[in-house]
Amino acid sequence: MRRYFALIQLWFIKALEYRAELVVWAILTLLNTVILLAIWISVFRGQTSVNGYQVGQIMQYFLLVTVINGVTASHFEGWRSQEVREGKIDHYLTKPISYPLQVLLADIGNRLFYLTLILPITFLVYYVFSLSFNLGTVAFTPLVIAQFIFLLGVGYLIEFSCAMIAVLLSFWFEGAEGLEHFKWITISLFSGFMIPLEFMPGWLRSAVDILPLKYMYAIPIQVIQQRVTLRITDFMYIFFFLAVIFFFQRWLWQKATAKYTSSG
Amino acid sequence: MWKSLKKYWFIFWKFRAIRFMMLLEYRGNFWFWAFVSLMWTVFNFFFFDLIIGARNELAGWNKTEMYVLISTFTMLDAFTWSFFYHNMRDYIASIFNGQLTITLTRPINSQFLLSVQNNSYTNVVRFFVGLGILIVTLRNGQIPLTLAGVIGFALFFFISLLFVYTLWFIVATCSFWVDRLDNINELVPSTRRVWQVPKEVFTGFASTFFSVLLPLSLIASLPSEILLGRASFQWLAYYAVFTAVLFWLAHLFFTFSIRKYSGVAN
Repeated sequence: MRRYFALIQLWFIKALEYRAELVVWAILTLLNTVILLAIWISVFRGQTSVNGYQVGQIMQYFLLVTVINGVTASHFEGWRSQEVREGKIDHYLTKPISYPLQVLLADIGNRLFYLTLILPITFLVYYVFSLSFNLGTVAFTPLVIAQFIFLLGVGYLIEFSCAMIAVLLSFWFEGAEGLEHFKWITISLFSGFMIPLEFMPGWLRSAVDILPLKYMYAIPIQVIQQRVTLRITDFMYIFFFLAVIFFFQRWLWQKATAKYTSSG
Repeated sequence: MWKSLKKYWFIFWKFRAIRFMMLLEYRGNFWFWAFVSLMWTVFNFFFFDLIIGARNELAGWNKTEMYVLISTFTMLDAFTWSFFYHNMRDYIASIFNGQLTITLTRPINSQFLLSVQNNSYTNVVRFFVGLGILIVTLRNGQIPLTLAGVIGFALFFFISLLFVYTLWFIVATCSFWVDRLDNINELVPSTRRVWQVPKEVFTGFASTFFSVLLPLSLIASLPSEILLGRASFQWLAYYAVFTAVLFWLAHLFFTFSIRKYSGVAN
């Protein structure tokens, strides 16, 4: 375990090196949240509620989206894919930890630093908005917190796995980093990231109900807002999906190691 | 003067031809990214369709008017990703890696060279999709078109492009003043959502900020308002003057910042 923590610590320190860039990302994330809030506020202008949501609740929804996004979103597929294509991953392969695990630990280290930035700012924004709008109550019972933290972990693993699959596919395909766009669109559409479930048309809602991406944003927010609670079937579905995605990554990695060549 | 313009015009198209040859070399890449850009366009229309669906309007703009706005945004976005993004990325990279020296020693205006030497054709599809939806929306929405309206739209579409370019160029020029900030090129495209919505979406301080101090919300709104016959002369004049002044300031800032540059000969 010590070597894992050492790697997390190393990447946390590396993130510190590029702190200005992370500050820019944090600001841009918040800017996008504020713009999205402005759009939704204008939807509610002159109305007290739309599709069962009040303006305060919709604002709470998108502020929680920002918090969840800060914890779970992974954006390493672009530069990692480039590294693979340019044959620059040799030094990872000579270490006694598998490449995917090193990528995971590095991402956790980076994310921890990013969280120290984004979370206080988001809570400050939340507080500022709560002065003008009734954002509704957030339930902090042990059961709700446990479910929420569990779903944050699930969301992170889904995001990470999608990004990792894009990186592993770059062993075969040149434009694999473009797959991140498919990831963004799919998540934006099917997870509740940009549109709450209640605003979706019937066919999209049916698709979201079938897919596991709802556990990334829509369900955790509904848990916090005490609209739903996880059932045993949810846990079974989540574990089944994570197992499938894990074994798929492992299979891809085994094939990729046979495919990889580099010189120098 | 005429000879000089002719030279710049020739160079501009020479770069386009070179990029087109590169496109033919990597055709698969072109189709892949064209598909990605098309996907984003469809997603944008779908997202706003859902939002408008909740109330049948957004900030006083009905569905037809919103489609005109999103089509205009889509066409502007095509330029953002095809043209500005690549040139500004190369400009910033050349400051950080010292290759700007090559540009500065060329017998041509450096700002011009930095601004036009690169482009991608993958978003051409996006432009034509935006244009197509705009034409269909205007026809189906029975919005009367006048010659003055079309000319005004084209003129302010160009002014909006100039505004985005100028703002981006100023932000990119800030690279002279920071040690290393790789994502500085993401700043301007990250604000695109501001001009994806009508300017009336913003109220209070946000409205003052995004319409007056930094008029990002006017970028797609004003050309669309001209087509819809609801543009106000004061806003148009303010935006045109603001863009012209900003363009002049960008040039001044560039010539001032360039003194800060140092790089070994390449």
